[in-house]
Amino acid sequence: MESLLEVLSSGELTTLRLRALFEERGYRRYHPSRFEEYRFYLENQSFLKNEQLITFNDLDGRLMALKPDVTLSIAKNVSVNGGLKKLYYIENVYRPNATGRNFSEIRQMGLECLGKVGRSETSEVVRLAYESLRLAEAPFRLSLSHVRYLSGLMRSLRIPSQLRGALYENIAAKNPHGLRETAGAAGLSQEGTALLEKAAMLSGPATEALREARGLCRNAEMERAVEEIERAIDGLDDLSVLIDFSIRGDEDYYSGLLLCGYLQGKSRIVLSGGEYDNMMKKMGQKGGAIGFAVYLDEFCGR
Amino acid sequence: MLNIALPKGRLGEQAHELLTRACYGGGSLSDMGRKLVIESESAGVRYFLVKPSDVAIYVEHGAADLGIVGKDILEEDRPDVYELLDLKIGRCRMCVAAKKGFEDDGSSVLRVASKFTNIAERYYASLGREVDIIKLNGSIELAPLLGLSDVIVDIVESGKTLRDNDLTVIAEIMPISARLIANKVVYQFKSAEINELRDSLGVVTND
Repeated sequence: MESLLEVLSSGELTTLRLRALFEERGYRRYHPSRFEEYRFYLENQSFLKNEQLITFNDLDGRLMALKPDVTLSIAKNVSVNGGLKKLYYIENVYRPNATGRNFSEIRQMGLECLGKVGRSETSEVVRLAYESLRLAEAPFRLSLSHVRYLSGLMRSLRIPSQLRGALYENIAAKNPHGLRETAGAAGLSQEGTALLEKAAMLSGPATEALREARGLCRNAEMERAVEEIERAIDGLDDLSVLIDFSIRGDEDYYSGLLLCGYLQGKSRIVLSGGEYDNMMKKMGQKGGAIGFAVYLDEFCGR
Repeated sequence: MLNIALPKGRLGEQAHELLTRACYGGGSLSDMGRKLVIESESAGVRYFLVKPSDVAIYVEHGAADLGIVGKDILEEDRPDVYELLDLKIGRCRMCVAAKKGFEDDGSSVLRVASKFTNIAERYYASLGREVDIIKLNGSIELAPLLGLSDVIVDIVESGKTLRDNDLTVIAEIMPISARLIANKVVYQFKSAEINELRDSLGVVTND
Protein backbone atom coordinates (compact mmCIF):
# COMPACT_ATOMS: atom_id res chain seq x y z
CA MET A 1 0.00 0.00 0.00
CA GLU A 2 2.83 2.35 0.89
CA SER A 3 4.37 1.94 -2.55
CA LEU A 4 0.99 2.72 -4.11
CA LEU A 5 0.90 6.05 -2.28
CA GLU A 6 4.44 6.80 -3.44
CA VAL A 7 3.41 6.95 -7.09
CA LEU A 8 0.80 9.62 -6.43
CA SER A 9 1.61 13.24 -7.28
CA SER A 10 1.18 15.82 -4.54
CA GLY A 11 -2.01 16.96 -6.25
CA GLU A 12 -3.48 13.47 -6.21
CA LEU A 13 -2.47 13.03 -2.59
CA THR A 14 -4.12 16.32 -1.63
CA THR A 15 -7.30 15.26 -3.41
CA LEU A 16 -7.28 11.99 -1.48
CA ARG A 17 -6.69 13.77 1.82
CA LEU A 18 -9.57 16.13 1.12
CA ARG A 19 -11.78 13.16 0.20
CA ALA A 20 -10.85 11.44 3.46
CA LEU A 21 -11.66 14.62 5.38
CA PHE A 22 -15.05 15.00 3.73
CA GLU A 23 -15.96 11.28 3.90
CA GLU A 24 -15.09 11.18 7.59
CA ARG A 25 -17.71 13.86 8.27
CA GLY A 26 -20.37 11.94 6.36
CA TYR A 27 -20.17 13.63 2.96
CA ARG A 28 -20.68 11.36 -0.04
CA ARG A 29 -19.29 11.73 -3.53
CA TYR A 30 -21.67 13.08 -6.16
CA HIS A 31 -21.17 12.72 -9.91
CA PRO A 32 -23.03 15.45 -11.78
CA SER A 33 -23.56 15.19 -15.53
CA ARG A 34 -20.88 16.75 -17.72
CA PHE A 35 -23.17 19.28 -19.37
CA GLU A 36 -26.39 21.19 -18.97
CA GLU A 37 -28.65 23.00 -21.41
CA TYR A 38 -27.16 26.31 -22.44
CA ARG A 39 -30.29 28.24 -21.42
CA PHE A 40 -29.88 27.07 -17.82
CA TYR A 41 -26.61 28.98 -17.60
CA LEU A 42 -28.04 31.90 -19.54
CA GLU A 43 -30.78 32.25 -16.92
CA ASN A 44 -28.17 32.24 -14.14
CA GLN A 45 -25.56 34.41 -15.76
CA SER A 46 -25.12 36.77 -12.81
CA PHE A 47 -23.99 33.85 -10.64
CA LEU A 48 -21.39 32.74 -13.20
CA LYS A 49 -20.03 36.28 -13.70
CA ASN A 50 -19.06 35.26 -17.22
CA GLU A 51 -21.36 34.45 -20.10
CA GLN A 52 -18.74 32.69 -22.20
CA LEU A 53 -19.33 28.93 -22.33
CA ILE A 54 -18.25 26.02 -24.48
CA THR A 55 -21.42 25.11 -26.34
CA PHE A 56 -22.43 22.34 -28.71
CA ASN A 57 -25.61 20.91 -30.21
CA ASP A 58 -26.85 17.65 -28.75
CA LEU A 59 -28.11 14.96 -31.13
CA ASP A 60 -31.69 16.18 -30.64
CA GLY A 61 -30.66 19.72 -31.61
CA ARG A 62 -30.69 21.25 -28.12
CA LEU A 63 -27.93 23.75 -27.41
CA MET A 64 -25.82 22.38 -24.57
CA ALA A 65 -22.85 23.74 -22.60
CA LEU A 66 -19.93 22.16 -20.79
CA LYS A 67 -20.29 22.92 -17.07
CA PRO A 68 -18.72 26.22 -16.02
CA ASP A 69 -19.79 25.52 -12.43
CA VAL A 70 -20.97 22.56 -10.35
CA THR A 71 -22.94 24.22 -7.53
CA LEU A 72 -25.70 25.41 -9.88
CA SER A 73 -26.21 21.87 -11.19
CA ILE A 74 -26.28 20.43 -7.69
CA ALA A 75 -28.80 23.01 -6.47
CA LYS A 76 -30.98 22.22 -9.49
CA ASN A 77 -30.66 18.44 -9.67
CA VAL A 78 -30.20 17.01 -6.18
CA SER A 79 -33.55 16.22 -4.60
CA VAL A 80 -33.49 17.22 -0.97
CA ASN A 81 -36.99 15.92 -0.06
CA GLY A 82 -37.17 17.77 3.23
CA GLY A 83 -34.01 16.10 4.49
CA LEU A 84 -30.32 16.91 4.57
CA LYS A 85 -27.87 16.08 1.76
CA LYS A 86 -24.14 16.15 2.39
CA LEU A 87 -22.19 15.86 -0.85
CA TYR A 88 -18.79 16.48 -2.33
CA TYR A 89 -17.57 16.38 -5.92
CA ILE A 90 -14.32 16.28 -7.88
CA GLU A 91 -15.00 17.69 -11.34
CA ASN A 92 -13.57 19.68 -14.20
CA VAL A 93 -15.26 22.93 -15.09
CA TYR A 94 -14.71 25.02 -18.21
CA ARG A 95 -14.24 28.77 -18.04
CA PRO A 96 -12.35 31.48 -19.91
CA ASN A 97 -8.87 31.84 -18.45
CA ALA A 98 -7.42 35.03 -16.96
CA THR A 99 -6.33 36.36 -20.35
CA GLY A 100 -9.89 36.01 -21.63
CA ARG A 101 -8.60 34.62 -24.91
CA ASN A 102 -8.88 30.86 -24.27
CA PHE A 103 -10.95 28.42 -22.28
CA SER A 104 -9.37 26.53 -19.41
CA GLU A 105 -10.22 23.23 -17.86
CA ILE A 106 -10.26 23.89 -14.13
CA ARG A 107 -10.08 21.03 -11.67
CA GLN A 108 -12.38 21.67 -8.77
CA MET A 109 -13.26 19.84 -5.62
CA GLY A 110 -16.26 21.04 -3.69
CA LEU A 111 -18.49 20.30 -0.78
CA GLU A 112 -22.19 21.13 -0.50
CA CYS A 113 -24.64 20.73 2.36
CA LEU A 114 -28.25 21.11 1.24
CA GLY A 115 -31.75 21.03 2.70
CA LYS A 116 -32.31 21.18 6.44
CA VAL A 117 -29.15 23.13 7.14
CA GLY A 118 -29.00 24.26 10.75
CA ARG A 119 -26.41 26.04 12.85
CA SER A 120 -24.34 22.93 13.49
CA GLU A 121 -24.16 22.09 9.74
CA THR A 122 -23.15 25.68 8.95
CA SER A 123 -20.37 25.58 11.55
CA GLU A 124 -19.29 22.17 10.28
CA VAL A 125 -18.91 23.42 6.68
CA VAL A 126 -16.93 26.47 7.81
CA ARG A 127 -14.71 24.22 9.91
CA LEU A 128 -14.23 21.90 6.92
CA ALA A 129 -13.18 24.86 4.78
CA TYR A 130 -10.70 25.76 7.50
CA GLU A 131 -9.40 22.20 7.75
CA SER A 132 -9.15 21.88 3.97
CA LEU A 133 -6.85 24.90 3.93
CA ARG A 134 -4.83 23.46 6.80
CA LEU A 135 -4.18 20.35 4.71
CA ALA A 136 -2.00 22.42 2.38
CA GLU A 137 0.60 22.63 5.16
CA ALA A 138 1.35 26.28 4.40
CA PRO A 139 0.31 29.47 6.15
CA PHE A 140 -3.32 30.11 5.21
CA ARG A 141 -6.14 32.57 5.79
CA LEU A 142 -9.86 31.88 5.80
CA SER A 143 -11.73 35.15 5.28
CA LEU A 144 -15.41 35.48 6.08
CA SER A 145 -18.06 37.97 5.20
CA HIS A 146 -21.86 38.04 5.28
CA VAL A 147 -24.01 39.46 2.48
CA ARG A 148 -26.54 40.88 4.95
CA TYR A 149 -24.00 43.07 6.73
CA LEU A 150 -23.44 45.59 3.95
CA SER A 151 -26.85 45.08 2.35
CA GLY A 152 -28.39 45.80 5.78
CA LEU A 153 -26.33 48.97 6.04
CA MET A 154 -27.26 50.02 2.50
CA ARG A 155 -30.92 49.48 3.36
CA SER A 156 -30.64 51.59 6.48
CA LEU A 157 -28.91 54.32 4.43
CA ARG A 158 -31.77 54.02 1.87
CA ILE A 159 -29.41 53.42 -1.05
CA PRO A 160 -31.56 52.36 -4.03
CA SER A 161 -30.74 48.88 -5.28
CA GLN A 162 -29.83 50.10 -8.78
CA LEU A 163 -26.96 52.14 -7.31
CA ARG A 164 -25.55 49.34 -5.19
CA GLY A 165 -23.73 47.50 -7.98
CA ALA A 166 -21.28 50.35 -8.57
CA LEU A 167 -20.69 50.67 -4.81
CA TYR A 168 -20.04 46.93 -4.46
CA GLU A 169 -17.55 47.11 -7.33
CA ASN A 170 -15.47 49.67 -5.42
CA ILE A 171 -15.87 47.72 -2.19
CA ALA A 172 -14.59 44.51 -3.84
CA ALA A 173 -11.50 46.43 -5.00
CA LYS A 174 -11.01 47.92 -1.49
CA ASN A 175 -11.13 51.24 -3.31
CA PRO A 176 -12.14 53.92 -0.77
CA HIS A 177 -11.67 56.89 -3.13
CA GLY A 178 -13.84 55.24 -5.78
CA LEU A 179 -16.46 54.37 -3.15
CA ARG A 180 -16.61 57.99 -1.93
CA GLU A 181 -16.92 59.27 -5.47
CA THR A 182 -19.70 56.81 -6.37
CA ALA A 183 -21.56 57.43 -3.10
CA GLY A 184 -21.28 61.19 -3.64
CA ALA A 185 -22.63 60.89 -7.18
CA ALA A 186 -25.52 58.80 -5.81
CA GLY A 187 -26.43 61.65 -3.44
CA LEU A 188 -25.46 59.87 -0.21
CA SER A 189 -24.80 62.21 2.73
CA GLN A 190 -21.26 62.72 4.03
CA GLU A 191 -22.02 60.88 7.29
CA GLY A 192 -23.63 58.03 5.37
CA THR A 193 -20.65 57.77 3.04
CA ALA A 194 -18.20 57.78 5.95
CA LEU A 195 -20.14 55.02 7.70
CA LEU A 196 -20.40 52.90 4.56
CA GLU A 197 -16.67 53.33 3.91
CA LYS A 198 -15.78 52.31 7.45
CA ALA A 199 -17.98 49.20 7.35
CA ALA A 200 -17.04 48.17 3.81
CA MET A 201 -13.29 48.53 4.32
CA LEU A 202 -13.37 46.65 7.61
CA SER A 203 -11.03 43.67 7.55
CA GLY A 204 -8.58 41.92 9.83
CA PRO A 205 -8.31 39.25 12.52
CA ALA A 206 -11.78 38.02 13.44
CA THR A 207 -12.19 38.95 17.10
CA GLU A 208 -11.18 42.57 16.74
CA ALA A 209 -12.87 43.07 13.36
CA LEU A 210 -16.16 41.62 14.65
CA ARG A 211 -16.07 43.90 17.68
CA GLU A 212 -15.65 46.86 15.36
CA ALA A 213 -18.32 45.51 13.01
CA ARG A 214 -20.78 45.28 15.89
CA GLY A 215 -20.15 48.92 16.77
CA LEU A 216 -21.13 49.97 13.25
CA CYS A 217 -24.44 48.06 13.19
CA ARG A 218 -27.45 50.21 12.33
CA ASN A 219 -30.21 47.60 12.34
CA ALA A 220 -31.12 44.07 13.38
CA GLU A 221 -30.12 42.69 9.97
CA MET A 222 -26.52 43.79 10.46
CA GLU A 223 -26.46 42.52 14.03
CA ARG A 224 -27.76 39.14 12.91
CA ALA A 225 -25.03 38.99 10.26
CA VAL A 226 -22.32 39.62 12.87
CA GLU A 227 -23.83 36.98 15.18
CA GLU A 228 -23.96 34.42 12.40
CA ILE A 229 -20.27 34.96 11.59
CA GLU A 230 -19.39 34.70 15.28
CA ARG A 231 -21.26 31.42 15.62
CA ALA A 232 -19.75 29.98 12.44
CA ILE A 233 -16.14 30.59 13.46
CA ASP A 234 -16.51 29.67 17.11
CA GLY A 235 -13.53 27.57 18.15
CA LEU A 236 -11.32 28.33 15.12
CA ASP A 237 -7.80 29.75 15.52
CA ASP A 238 -8.14 33.51 15.42
CA LEU A 239 -4.81 34.18 13.71
CA SER A 240 -5.82 32.40 10.50
CA VAL A 241 -9.45 33.54 10.43
CA LEU A 242 -10.12 37.00 9.06
CA ILE A 243 -13.20 39.11 8.54
CA ASP A 244 -13.33 40.90 5.21
CA PHE A 245 -16.50 42.67 4.09
CA SER A 246 -15.04 43.33 0.64
CA ILE A 247 -15.78 39.71 -0.36
CA ARG A 248 -18.55 39.94 -2.90
CA GLY A 249 -21.57 37.65 -3.25
CA ASP A 250 -24.52 38.21 -5.56
CA GLU A 251 -27.67 38.50 -3.42
CA ASP A 252 -29.76 36.69 -6.02
CA TYR A 253 -27.86 33.56 -4.98
CA TYR A 254 -26.03 34.12 -1.71
CA SER A 255 -28.04 34.63 1.43
CA GLY A 256 -25.59 34.72 4.33
CA LEU A 257 -21.99 33.77 5.00
CA LEU A 258 -19.31 34.13 2.32
CA LEU A 259 -15.97 32.31 2.48
CA CYS A 260 -12.64 32.91 0.78
CA GLY A 261 -9.46 30.88 1.30
CA TYR A 262 -5.89 31.97 0.64
CA LEU A 263 -2.52 30.19 0.82
CA GLN A 264 0.72 32.07 1.27
CA GLY A 265 2.79 32.12 -1.90
CA LYS A 266 -0.16 31.62 -4.27
CA SER A 267 -1.30 34.51 -6.40
CA ARG A 268 -5.01 33.66 -6.45
CA ILE A 269 -7.84 32.54 -4.20
CA VAL A 270 -7.75 28.78 -3.55
CA LEU A 271 -11.17 28.32 -1.94
CA SER A 272 -14.48 30.14 -2.15
CA GLY A 273 -18.06 29.54 -1.14
CA GLY A 274 -20.93 30.57 1.07
CA GLU A 275 -24.56 30.14 2.02
CA TYR A 276 -26.79 30.08 -1.03
CA ASP A 277 -30.38 29.70 0.18
CA ASN A 278 -31.52 32.19 -2.47
CA MET A 279 -30.14 29.99 -5.25
CA MET A 280 -32.03 27.02 -3.80
CA LYS A 281 -35.23 29.10 -3.86
CA LYS A 282 -34.53 30.05 -7.46
CA MET A 283 -34.16 26.37 -8.35
CA GLY A 284 -37.49 25.61 -6.66
CA GLN A 285 -35.88 23.72 -3.77
CA LYS A 286 -36.98 23.87 -0.17
CA GLY A 287 -34.39 24.52 2.52
CA GLY A 288 -31.02 26.18 2.66
CA ALA A 289 -27.54 25.36 1.43
CA ILE A 290 -23.91 26.09 2.18
CA GLY A 291 -20.78 24.88 0.45
CA PHE A 292 -17.40 25.75 -0.95
CA ALA A 293 -15.11 24.86 -3.83
CA VAL A 294 -11.37 24.22 -3.67
CA TYR A 295 -9.50 25.17 -6.86
CA LEU A 296 -7.16 22.20 -7.08
CA ASP A 297 -4.74 23.62 -9.65
CA GLU A 298 -4.11 26.64 -7.43
CA PHE A 299 -4.29 24.63 -4.22
CA CYS A 300 -1.77 21.97 -5.26
CA GLY A 301 0.23 23.78 -7.94
CA ARG A 302 3.30 25.91 -7.59
CA MET B 1 9.66 43.14 3.34
CA LEU B 2 7.24 44.63 0.78
CA ASN B 3 7.97 44.19 -2.92
CA ILE B 4 6.79 47.21 -4.88
CA ALA B 5 6.63 47.51 -8.67
CA LEU B 6 7.13 51.05 -9.93
CA PRO B 7 6.50 52.21 -13.50
CA LYS B 8 9.59 53.29 -15.44
CA GLY B 9 9.63 56.97 -16.33
CA ARG B 10 8.39 60.19 -14.79
CA LEU B 11 5.47 58.65 -12.92
CA GLY B 12 7.80 56.15 -11.25
CA GLU B 13 10.12 58.96 -10.19
CA GLN B 14 7.24 60.97 -8.73
CA ALA B 15 5.94 57.87 -6.94
CA HIS B 16 9.38 57.10 -5.52
CA GLU B 17 9.62 60.67 -4.25
CA LEU B 18 6.23 60.33 -2.52
CA LEU B 19 7.25 57.01 -0.97
CA THR B 20 10.49 58.56 0.27
CA ARG B 21 8.52 61.40 1.89
CA ALA B 22 6.32 58.75 3.51
CA CYS B 23 9.50 57.22 5.04
CA TYR B 24 9.69 54.35 2.57
CA GLY B 25 12.77 55.61 0.75
CA GLY B 26 15.09 53.07 -0.77
CA GLY B 27 18.15 53.94 -2.84
CA SER B 28 18.35 56.94 -5.09
CA LEU B 29 16.63 57.65 -8.36
CA SER B 30 19.91 57.62 -10.24
CA ASP B 31 20.54 54.12 -8.93
CA MET B 32 17.15 53.10 -10.25
CA GLY B 33 18.22 54.03 -13.74
CA ARG B 34 20.90 51.34 -13.76
CA LYS B 35 19.67 48.68 -11.38
CA LEU B 36 16.49 46.75 -11.84
CA VAL B 37 15.97 46.13 -8.14
CA ILE B 38 16.81 48.38 -5.21
CA GLU B 39 16.26 47.53 -1.63
CA SER B 40 16.12 49.28 1.70
CA GLU B 41 16.18 46.88 4.56
CA SER B 42 15.58 49.58 7.15
CA ALA B 43 12.43 50.78 5.40
CA GLY B 44 11.35 47.20 4.70
CA VAL B 45 10.85 47.75 0.98
CA ARG B 46 12.24 46.45 -2.28
CA TYR B 47 11.51 48.41 -5.45
CA PHE B 48 11.71 47.28 -9.02
CA LEU B 49 11.13 49.24 -12.17
CA VAL B 50 8.98 47.73 -14.89
CA LYS B 51 7.16 48.91 -17.99
CA PRO B 52 4.11 50.95 -16.85
CA SER B 53 1.65 48.59 -18.55
CA ASP B 54 3.29 45.60 -16.80
CA VAL B 55 2.96 46.88 -13.20
CA ALA B 56 -0.53 45.45 -12.69
CA ILE B 57 0.54 42.12 -14.23
CA TYR B 58 3.38 41.76 -11.70
CA VAL B 59 0.98 42.57 -8.87
CA GLU B 60 -1.91 40.39 -10.06
CA HIS B 61 0.42 37.39 -10.34
CA GLY B 62 2.00 38.04 -6.96
CA ALA B 63 5.53 38.78 -8.26
CA ALA B 64 5.07 42.16 -6.58
CA ASP B 65 3.03 42.77 -3.41
CA LEU B 66 2.20 46.33 -4.34
CA GLY B 67 2.43 48.50 -7.42
CA ILE B 68 1.89 52.02 -8.60
CA VAL B 69 -0.01 52.31 -11.83
CA GLY B 70 -2.14 54.77 -13.79
CA LYS B 71 -5.92 54.48 -13.63
CA ASP B 72 -5.88 54.34 -17.45
CA ILE B 73 -4.12 50.96 -17.34
CA LEU B 74 -6.38 49.67 -14.55
CA GLU B 75 -9.47 50.61 -16.57
CA GLU B 76 -8.07 49.18 -19.78
CA ASP B 77 -6.88 45.81 -18.39
CA ARG B 78 -9.15 45.47 -15.31
CA PRO B 79 -6.69 43.29 -13.37
CA ASP B 80 -7.93 41.41 -10.30
CA VAL B 81 -6.17 43.53 -7.66
CA TYR B 82 -7.09 45.84 -4.78
CA GLU B 83 -6.95 49.56 -5.57
CA LEU B 84 -6.01 51.02 -2.21
CA LEU B 85 -5.22 54.68 -2.74
CA ASP B 86 -5.41 57.54 -5.23
CA LEU B 87 -1.91 59.07 -5.20
CA LYS B 88 -3.15 62.19 -7.00
CA ILE B 89 -0.01 62.32 -9.15
CA GLY B 90 0.26 61.83 -12.90
CA ARG B 91 -3.08 63.54 -13.30
CA CYS B 92 -4.57 63.72 -16.77
CA ARG B 93 -7.85 62.94 -18.58
CA MET B 94 -8.99 60.17 -20.90
CA CYS B 95 -10.62 62.05 -23.76
CA VAL B 96 -12.16 61.76 -27.18
CA ALA B 97 -10.46 64.15 -29.61
CA ALA B 98 -11.02 64.99 -33.25
CA LYS B 99 -9.96 67.48 -35.91
CA LYS B 100 -11.23 70.97 -35.20
CA GLY B 101 -14.70 71.38 -36.64
CA PHE B 102 -15.48 67.64 -36.67
CA GLU B 103 -19.03 66.78 -35.71
CA ASP B 104 -20.30 63.24 -35.28
CA ASP B 105 -23.70 63.32 -36.98
CA GLY B 106 -24.25 59.61 -36.36
CA SER B 107 -24.83 58.88 -40.05
CA SER B 108 -22.14 56.22 -40.34
CA VAL B 109 -20.00 53.92 -38.22
CA LEU B 110 -17.55 56.07 -36.23
CA ARG B 111 -13.91 55.14 -36.72
CA VAL B 112 -12.03 55.37 -33.41
CA ALA B 113 -8.24 55.03 -33.11
CA SER B 114 -6.81 54.28 -29.68
CA LYS B 115 -4.23 52.48 -27.62
CA PHE B 116 -7.01 51.97 -25.04
CA THR B 117 -9.36 49.84 -27.11
CA ASN B 118 -11.30 48.39 -24.15
CA ILE B 119 -11.96 51.83 -22.67
CA ALA B 120 -13.01 53.15 -26.09
CA GLU B 121 -15.26 50.16 -26.71
CA ARG B 122 -16.97 50.40 -23.32
CA TYR B 123 -17.43 54.16 -23.65
CA TYR B 124 -19.14 53.94 -27.03
CA ALA B 125 -21.17 50.89 -25.97
CA SER B 126 -22.50 52.98 -23.06
CA LEU B 127 -23.64 55.58 -25.61
CA GLY B 128 -25.08 52.93 -27.93
CA ARG B 129 -22.90 54.25 -30.76
CA GLU B 130 -21.65 51.83 -33.39
CA VAL B 131 -17.89 52.16 -33.80
CA ASP B 132 -14.97 50.66 -35.64
CA ILE B 133 -12.07 50.49 -33.19
CA ILE B 134 -8.56 50.75 -34.64
CA LYS B 135 -5.81 49.64 -32.28
CA LEU B 136 -2.67 51.80 -32.45
CA ASN B 137 0.41 51.63 -30.25
CA GLY B 138 1.67 55.20 -30.53
CA SER B 139 1.37 58.57 -32.30
CA ILE B 140 -2.40 58.27 -31.98
CA GLU B 141 -2.81 61.95 -32.98
CA LEU B 142 -1.75 61.10 -36.51
CA ALA B 143 -4.81 58.94 -37.16
CA PRO B 144 -7.41 61.69 -37.78
CA LEU B 145 -4.86 63.81 -39.64
CA LEU B 146 -4.21 61.03 -42.15
CA GLY B 147 -7.87 60.02 -42.37
CA LEU B 148 -7.27 56.70 -40.62
CA SER B 149 -9.96 57.51 -38.05
CA ASP B 150 -12.64 60.11 -37.31
CA VAL B 151 -11.73 60.47 -33.65
CA ILE B 152 -9.13 59.23 -31.16
CA VAL B 153 -9.47 58.11 -27.56
CA ASP B 154 -6.32 59.03 -25.68
CA ILE B 155 -4.79 60.57 -22.59
CA VAL B 156 -4.70 64.36 -22.56
CA GLU B 157 -2.41 66.10 -20.10
CA SER B 158 -1.99 69.75 -21.05
CA GLY B 159 -3.62 69.49 -24.45
CA LYS B 160 -0.52 70.93 -26.16
CA THR B 161 0.05 67.94 -28.46
CA LEU B 162 -3.57 68.14 -29.58
CA ARG B 163 -3.36 71.88 -30.24
CA ASP B 164 -0.09 71.50 -32.14
CA ASN B 165 -1.84 69.03 -34.43
CA ASP B 166 -5.03 71.05 -34.85
CA LEU B 167 -7.06 68.57 -32.80
CA THR B 168 -9.54 69.36 -30.06
CA VAL B 169 -11.19 67.49 -27.16
CA ILE B 170 -14.82 66.70 -27.93
CA ALA B 171 -15.63 64.60 -24.83
CA GLU B 172 -14.04 63.65 -21.54
CA ILE B 173 -14.35 59.98 -20.56
CA MET B 174 -12.71 59.98 -17.12
CA PRO B 175 -10.06 61.65 -14.98
CA ILE B 176 -6.84 59.66 -14.57
CA SER B 177 -4.22 59.58 -11.80
CA ALA B 178 -1.79 57.08 -10.28
CA ARG B 179 -3.11 54.43 -7.88
CA LEU B 180 -1.57 52.16 -5.27
CA ILE B 181 -2.58 48.57 -6.00
CA ALA B 182 -2.09 45.34 -4.02
CA ASN B 183 -2.17 41.62 -4.74
CA LYS B 184 -5.30 40.16 -3.15
CA VAL B 185 -3.62 37.14 -1.59
CA VAL B 186 -0.57 38.98 -0.27
CA TYR B 187 -2.90 41.52 1.34
CA GLN B 188 -4.39 38.79 3.56
CA PHE B 189 -0.95 37.99 4.96
CA LYS B 190 0.65 41.43 5.11
CA SER B 191 -2.38 43.66 5.70
CA ALA B 192 -0.85 45.47 8.70
CA GLU B 193 2.31 46.43 6.77
CA ILE B 194 0.36 47.33 3.65
CA ASN B 195 -2.20 49.45 5.50
CA GLU B 196 0.60 51.30 7.30
CA LEU B 197 2.25 52.14 3.97
CA ARG B 198 -1.12 53.14 2.46
CA ASP B 199 -1.90 55.43 5.41
CA SER B 200 1.55 57.07 5.36
CA LEU B 201 1.24 57.61 1.63
CA GLY B 202 -2.27 58.97 2.16
CA VAL B 203 -0.88 61.63 4.50
CA VAL B 204 1.81 62.82 2.07
CA THR B 205 -0.50 62.81 -0.95
CA ASN B 206 -2.89 65.12 0.91
CA ASP B 207 -0.13 67.61 1.81
